[in-house]
Amino acid sequence: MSDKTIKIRVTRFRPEEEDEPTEQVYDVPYQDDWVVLDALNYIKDQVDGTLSYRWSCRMGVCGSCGMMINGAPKLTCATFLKDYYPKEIVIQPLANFPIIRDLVVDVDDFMAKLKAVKPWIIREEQKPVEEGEYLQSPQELKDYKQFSQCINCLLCYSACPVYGLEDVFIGPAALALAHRYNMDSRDEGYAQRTVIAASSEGIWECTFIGECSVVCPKHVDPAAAIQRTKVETTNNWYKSFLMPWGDK
Amino acid sequence: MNYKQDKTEPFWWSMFAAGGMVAAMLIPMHLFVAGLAVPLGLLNPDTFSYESMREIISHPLAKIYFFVLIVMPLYHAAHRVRFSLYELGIREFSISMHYLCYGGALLGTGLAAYIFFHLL
Amino acid sequence: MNQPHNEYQYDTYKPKMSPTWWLKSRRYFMFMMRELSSVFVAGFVLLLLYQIFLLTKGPEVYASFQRSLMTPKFIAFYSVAFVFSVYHTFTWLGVVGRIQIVRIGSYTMPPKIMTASTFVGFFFVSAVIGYIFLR
Repeated sequence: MSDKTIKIRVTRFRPEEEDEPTEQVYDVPYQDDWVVLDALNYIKDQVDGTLSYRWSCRMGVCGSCGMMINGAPKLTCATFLKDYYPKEIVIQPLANFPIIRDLVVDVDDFMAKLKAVKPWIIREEQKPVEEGEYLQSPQELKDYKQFSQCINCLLCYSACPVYGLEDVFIGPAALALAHRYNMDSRDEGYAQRTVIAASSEGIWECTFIGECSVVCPKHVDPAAAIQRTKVETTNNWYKSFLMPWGDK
Repeated sequence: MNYKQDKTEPFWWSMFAAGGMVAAMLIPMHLFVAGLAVPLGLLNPDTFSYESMREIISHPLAKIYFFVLIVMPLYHAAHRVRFSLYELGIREFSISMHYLCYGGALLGTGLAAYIFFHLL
Repeated sequence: MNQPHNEYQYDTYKPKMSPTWWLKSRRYFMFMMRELSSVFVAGFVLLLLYQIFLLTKGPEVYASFQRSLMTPKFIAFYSVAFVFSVYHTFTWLGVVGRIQIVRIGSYTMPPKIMTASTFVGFFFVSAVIGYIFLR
């Protein structure tokens, strides 16, 4: 093992001891195949067991380990030390969320919003099991697949200034998932979801800054999902006046 | 949280989108022709002379074209200004921001209509 | 399983977002510039409206205003407005392909082709306008 080390500057917040977050700097051994999560685990295991943070799969599919790394929202399991070495790495909790402790943020707000957009297949009548599966062509799958890749890591909420300024905004991931289900050929819940998605706290808060799509680790492109929802909602709005006999 | 579908926003957004398309496609060249072509010596100054402009603008299609060219970007700007002020923290007058911004665009529309279809 | 549980109460710290958030990164700043471009475009079209209005005021008034447009102040405004208007065009047309999916039968136009076509349209329309006024 080489003697190279790298400085990790971590936000600490112990609500039972302090009113405001502070910082603590650790020296961590540098290995060029380590990610930031490896550094955090080294700190927790060998240096300071009191450091609190979330992680799980360590391979970019669970969405647990999102944090601000040098001011940018990233997955710590997907961010390599070698991209920063020999400079110091600053780790802060995910922006725009209340901090519970150290690097752990409160995501209840997102959970409520995710539930509100009803991210499941809604059907007026369920198809009986005996009738077999819902069939879907490759094109029908392609229509929504990109938006189904969301791992709820919340990097997009950290990147979105609108969510930062006004947290009533339903937010990129929830709206992208609403779009995912609206685009699913098996779904019949468009009207129900639109009440929430096309509310003034939904798509209309968005000003297409586009940062959400830039930081998304799964290339979901929530910004595109929101803009497409705006287009569809607007088209339907005009149709409801110009063709009131329509069925949507 | 009790969500209600917003029934007026789609209209303003559609005006913003139409204005943005008009501005994106037409404004750069019109801006260049109107303001930079003469100083750069690319334009015969007589093209914008009183006589030739009055002749161009007397045509009803020209009136409609320039009316659209002038009015649509106003709605585009009104929408962007409304949201940008919000993002800069100027939010307390959120109701009158609607009236201020879109009201300004409507005023511009009225002015343009008066000039194109009444005065000229 | 169905017993009500006590919600564990915890304190949180919510950092306040500064109104100068858009100065914090280059991308945020360029976003604000994109929004600002609409103001310059609006300024230009109002100037154009004013010019057309002066056509109703007679040849002398109109001509003197035309001459004032050639002064450094106006040229500076037009130059800045032109840069902003081009920036608006590129950022606007640059995203159209991501938003508007074009499908003809079973063929889906790739977003890059869609974007390229809108830019071709822009250059074509600009050439037409240029031809009409600059020939």
